[in-house]
Amino acid sequence: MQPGRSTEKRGEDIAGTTNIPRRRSPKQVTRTLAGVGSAAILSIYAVGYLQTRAAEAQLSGAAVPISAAPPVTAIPGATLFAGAVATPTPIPMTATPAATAAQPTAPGSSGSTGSAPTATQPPPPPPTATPTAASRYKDGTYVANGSSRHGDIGATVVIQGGRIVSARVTSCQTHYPCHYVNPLVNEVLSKQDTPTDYVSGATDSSRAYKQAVANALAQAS
Amino acid sequence: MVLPAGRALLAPSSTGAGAAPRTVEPIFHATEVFMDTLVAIDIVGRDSERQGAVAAARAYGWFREVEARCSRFDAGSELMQLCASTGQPMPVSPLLYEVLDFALAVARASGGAFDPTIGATMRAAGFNRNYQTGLAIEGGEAKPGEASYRDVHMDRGRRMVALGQPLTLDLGAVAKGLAIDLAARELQGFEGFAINAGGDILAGGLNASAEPWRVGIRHPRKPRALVDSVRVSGAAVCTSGDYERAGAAGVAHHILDPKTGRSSAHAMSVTTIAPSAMLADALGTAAFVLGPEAGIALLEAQGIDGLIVDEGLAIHTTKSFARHRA
Repeated sequence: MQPGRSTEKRGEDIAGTTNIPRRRSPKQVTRTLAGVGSAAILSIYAVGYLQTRAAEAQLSGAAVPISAAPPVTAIPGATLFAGAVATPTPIPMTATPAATAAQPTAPGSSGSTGSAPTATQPPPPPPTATPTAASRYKDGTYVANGSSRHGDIGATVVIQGGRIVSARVTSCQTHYPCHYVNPLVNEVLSKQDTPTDYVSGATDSSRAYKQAVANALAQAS
Repeated sequence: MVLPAGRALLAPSSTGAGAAPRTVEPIFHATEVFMDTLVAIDIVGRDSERQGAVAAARAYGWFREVEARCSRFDAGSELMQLCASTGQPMPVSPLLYEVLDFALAVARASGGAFDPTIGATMRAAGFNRNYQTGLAIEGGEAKPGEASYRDVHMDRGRRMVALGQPLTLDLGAVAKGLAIDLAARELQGFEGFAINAGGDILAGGLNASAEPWRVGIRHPRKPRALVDSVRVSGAAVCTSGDYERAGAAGVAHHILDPKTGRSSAHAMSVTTIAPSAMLADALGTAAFVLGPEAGIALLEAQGIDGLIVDEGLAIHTTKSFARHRA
């Protein structure tokens, strides 16, 4: 960070109430906005800590308003969907059981296609199968659903030769036009994975599709 | 604020050496509405869903608290009570003092391109209704363009604020970020978490694939397309776009140049990556008003990476932006 842009000015005189002159002492500490910001956040958090503890106490005495999603199973390849619906798809097009039966797969086995294993990986995965990019998905057609505040989407993912060759939307009950997810379909095909976790600058209307693809890929893993 | 990226992941498993740790997996997701936008919280880790729910409830509590104190659309908010007290020093809460102090620091650093006294201008441009009640907010004596951040006087020792002339403070560009940052502090014990408040995202730790979170950057003209994507851990990615909120009074969008009172037209969107959402949001707004050249210069001077899509759809980035690319 380069110093000099933001000079801390403390104790500016309140109009008409003090006579403290504004001055810049040579010893005055220069701080970046990042410094001012983090000090502000810490200061507010410290004061409010007690308030949030009170809220927590209130909560622990009552029913916790958790999401309607059922308990979550591990979804390999899913990078986002904490609330992923793990119930079997209502359209059993394959013999494969739905996401509930998906075996928890080692973290790191689902990185972007072609990327090297991340060096900062946490507890090493169990030394079981670590599929290569080519074999990470089992061939077949997988159908799964995703839901969001904006509505539900069903996706059909086709794996051939270990690769995702299709990730079509096969049912769409969303408040927004379903073609909105078309670029995500391309992203799934190009990355061979679920789309990005989030999109900055956009409300997350694509959640249902991403969840559906994640659930389908969980079956395929 | 430096979030301990992946800190928990590096800690030894509580089950002891040699024992296979529980897989890190998504344990909680919720979406609630605050500040006129959807606020989603995702948590991944080894804890129970209930632990996630309790932490998320605390996190949402911060959104409630920040909104209640800092809303320009509620005459009873602490912010609006301060605005109704021109000329006399008013004691304020630590929260309001600190967020205002930060906003003024950004105003000074950006030469007024960012200005928290823009409330009257915003109101005149049609940004005047409470999203929950639909009611218009009264402006009092404050007139557009007559005051600037220099009219806000802070006394840290006594935690008082005095407004030198009638003005309406608008903390819209910092309050949401602040709420995200405070909420994030409640989630730091988990292996990974992400807060997405209407496209302003703060992600800590790692996602369920044990990788930094992947965040796409929306194309300003193609709602479902991305102009770029980044990987972050312990950082906020915020985007200010001209496509977000249209004005009711002839302005094109909600990011107004404090000096002209009109929508800034030098950029279509500005995305910033910063240690805190408050910083990312405020500097992004300032950079939007300044335009690509001065905007990038401001970000670089503050050590913050960013990407600006200009009015011709050309992309400008800070020198070290590329290191974040996914």
